[in-house]
Amino acid sequence: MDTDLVVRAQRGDQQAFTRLLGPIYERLHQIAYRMLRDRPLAEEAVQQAALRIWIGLPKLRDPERFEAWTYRLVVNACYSEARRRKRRLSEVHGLATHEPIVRDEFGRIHDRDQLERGFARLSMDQRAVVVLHHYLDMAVDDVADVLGIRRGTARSRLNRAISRMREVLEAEQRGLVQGAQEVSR
Amino acid sequence: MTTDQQAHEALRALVREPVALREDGLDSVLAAVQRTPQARTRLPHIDGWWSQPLFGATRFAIAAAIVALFGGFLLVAQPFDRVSVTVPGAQTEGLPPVIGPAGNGLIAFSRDGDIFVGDPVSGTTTAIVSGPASDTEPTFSPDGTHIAFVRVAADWDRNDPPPPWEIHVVRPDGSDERAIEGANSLELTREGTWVGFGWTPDSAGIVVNHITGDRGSPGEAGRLTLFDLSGAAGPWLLTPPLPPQMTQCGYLCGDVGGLFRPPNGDRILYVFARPHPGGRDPGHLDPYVAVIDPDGTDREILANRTFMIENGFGDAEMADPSWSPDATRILVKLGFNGPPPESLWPAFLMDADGSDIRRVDGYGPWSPDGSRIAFEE
Repeated sequence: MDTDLVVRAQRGDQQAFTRLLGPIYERLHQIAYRMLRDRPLAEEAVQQAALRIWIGLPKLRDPERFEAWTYRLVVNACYSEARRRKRRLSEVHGLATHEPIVRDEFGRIHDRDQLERGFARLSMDQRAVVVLHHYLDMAVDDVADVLGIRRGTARSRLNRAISRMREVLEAEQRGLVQGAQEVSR
Repeated sequence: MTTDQQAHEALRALVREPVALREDGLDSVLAAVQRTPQARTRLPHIDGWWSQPLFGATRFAIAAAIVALFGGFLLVAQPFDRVSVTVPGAQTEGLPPVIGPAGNGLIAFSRDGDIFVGDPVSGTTTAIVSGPASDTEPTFSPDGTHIAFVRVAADWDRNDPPPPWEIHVVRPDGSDERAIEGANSLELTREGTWVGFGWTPDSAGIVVNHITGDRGSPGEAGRLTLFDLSGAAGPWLLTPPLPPQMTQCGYLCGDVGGLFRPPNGDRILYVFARPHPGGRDPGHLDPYVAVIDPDGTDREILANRTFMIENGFGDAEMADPSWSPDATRILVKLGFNGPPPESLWPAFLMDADGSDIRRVDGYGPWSPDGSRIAFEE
């Protein structure tokens, strides 16, 4: 991150602002989509985050922290959009289409809907930790710093997310076994 | 049995799965921002906007009298059959009376492309702006000292490209007419332009919702800009110089309706449009009704195309949203892209949070107590 650009943007240089935003825009969008699992909501979240970046930039004390700070703002914007989604049902644009299966590093093939359902059971707090940790490859301690939470809290959220996902996968396996037994009868 | 490690990896795989979101290039973004004429400036603080005792007791009494006069004038002078609908569920008690158009007893209107001011007491009508240009949408400032209006060149539709639409101001006696520099809007490709404006509560500024940038370029985008009436400061962008891939059709473009939420102006109501998120038809813009804080933050979409279809309004355009006097409800005018549904409803009402949507028979100004809506039939 070019701190000089940050300083210039803080002083009102529009060109510097867009040069800052351009490289991280896609990343912010990906974070928002991964947390919200909904394209229109993710777009809204990124726009809201960009507004807050623009307005809050002069108050950013440490230019070195610019990128991490934008992550926090986009996560916060995702919280806002998620709350709005709960309150309203109007946004029903279809979810993105993906490959129907996901293969993990063990070569296991999971049903994508099952995984999505598992992810949907995670709280937004848990999703934020999971996305920053796994998508951005941030250490859990760094995730805690970005989100402004204690490191133990970040670890706890990650562990709970894993537990929930495990529950879902186990339910999936039970269903497969049960189905196989019924077929064999 | 699934282990935590397996669950961990499944979660990791899901989160790291490649997702193609938008493919817009950034080069055009930077070029567009460089063309943005406004300098980045801190916003004025909104606290001062209601420092004047606009709703003081004296003005209250004067306002009530003016409203009564204004109502009488409408009944006598307006050339259309004017009817009204009762707002479902509206409260009719405990609401403050509305100050007349400007609290000065005068009414501004346009006719044949000229601006007039009518005095309901004396019955006189004075043309204050005339000429070949088409001048419309005269709107008094809250303090009654100025009238803002939209000017379109007389040969607007014979030029290619058409000249921009402009926002002008003039005093009620016709003096001091001038354009607000920079407060203009490009012609929008589909159906004329979208330019909306509204006065700040202290009458010191005008917020304009307009299209800027080079026509047809990636930088052509909607913006919400606050102009200082005196020209001594600003203008201020209420939106950041966002790249087009973030602004889509324009982060803000379209009508600014009732504008600032009464009584303290803490939310701006407006409509905008942008391409359908799924890329259904790049040329088709989906309408949205939204509110935003005056500093450009906390945008909330209250209604969109999907919302309209789900509620039985069809593929409707939305325009001219306005707050009820007590700010509990929002009235939105409707239009239709294709064949209208069997029962065409010209407008709908919803609560300020976008809930409890209801059809209404007409679109027009609210009664002072918010219980009725007047419209032309």
